[in-house]
Amino acid sequence: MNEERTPQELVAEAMRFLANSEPPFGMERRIASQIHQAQALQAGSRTRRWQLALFASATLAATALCVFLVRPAARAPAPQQHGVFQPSIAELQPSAAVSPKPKQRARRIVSAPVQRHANIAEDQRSFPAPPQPLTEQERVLQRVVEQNQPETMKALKLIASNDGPEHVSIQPGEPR
Amino acid sequence: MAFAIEDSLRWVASEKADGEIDIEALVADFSRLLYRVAYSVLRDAAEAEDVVQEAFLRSLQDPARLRAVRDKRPWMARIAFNLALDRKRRLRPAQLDDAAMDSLVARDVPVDQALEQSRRVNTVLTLVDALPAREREVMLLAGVEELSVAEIAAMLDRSENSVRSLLFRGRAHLQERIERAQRSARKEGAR
Repeated sequence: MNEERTPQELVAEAMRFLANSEPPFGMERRIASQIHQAQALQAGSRTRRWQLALFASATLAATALCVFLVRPAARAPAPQQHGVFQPSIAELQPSAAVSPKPKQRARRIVSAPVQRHANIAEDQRSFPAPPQPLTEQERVLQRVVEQNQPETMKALKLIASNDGPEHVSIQPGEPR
Repeated sequence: MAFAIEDSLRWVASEKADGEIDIEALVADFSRLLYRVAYSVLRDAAEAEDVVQEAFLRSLQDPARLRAVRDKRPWMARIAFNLALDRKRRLRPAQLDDAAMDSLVARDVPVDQALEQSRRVNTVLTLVDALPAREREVMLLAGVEELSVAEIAAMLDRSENSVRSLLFRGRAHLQERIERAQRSARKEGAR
């Protein structure tokens, strides 16, 4: 410690040292630009956050709309196939039984006997095959009948009567 | 105190009409004060500049609060002071001594005188650092000439009388310690 200086002088010198400290050159400019940069970054991140939230909510809304539009279609009954017999409840029930009752009650009426009746009706319904081309034998027979020769016709009738008990009538010139 | 009033008036005038804060005006008004407050604690120019920047960023995080503060000088000085104290805990003491030495040597004085002055100032500031916390804080802030006793009291949440008392006691304790150090140095020299 320097003996020439009193403690008061030394304290004053130290305080002067603190008081005379000058900021480095360009500190204000540097700090201002740093603050602007930090604020721009903050504003950018805030904008990005808003954009992200907007995108997420738009996606959510689109998903909800899709679900809303698709669900009724999924629940709708399958379209009826053409030519398939599907008897309705009204058709199967006797007319007296058809009364304006609640749906729950009607569902209970459509029970096992009614369903069985529907199956029988479906089984009894005929489904004719479409016209098929004649076979070789049929074409030969047709040609023979069209020629209408008495000997041949007599022989054919004899064969038919011998073949089976069923009644077969062969008319010459009858188109098939 | 004249400085304080002038700065506050300039700040009010520099506030933009739409309520937005004029950053350039804010920095121009308070950067020197904040730097001196930070430097009194840290005694390192680069560290003090970092603290000033952080103090501005902290104060601008809530612009509404900044506008609402009536006396901004002690409010901002307190932010810088607390940040500087936090930073000082993380720094090595040797780092602070070297920085203080550099700042003194850089001045326009002969090198031998600068070194001698640096040694003296460093010794006194080391003794200031060894004072009780309340006295040390008041001593360091009193070294910043721009701060009045009223502003130091506002910064430290104390009354003006308490600050004056702490300042008086701090100076007395510091002088005692300097005298003790001088006596022991004399004894060492006699041996």
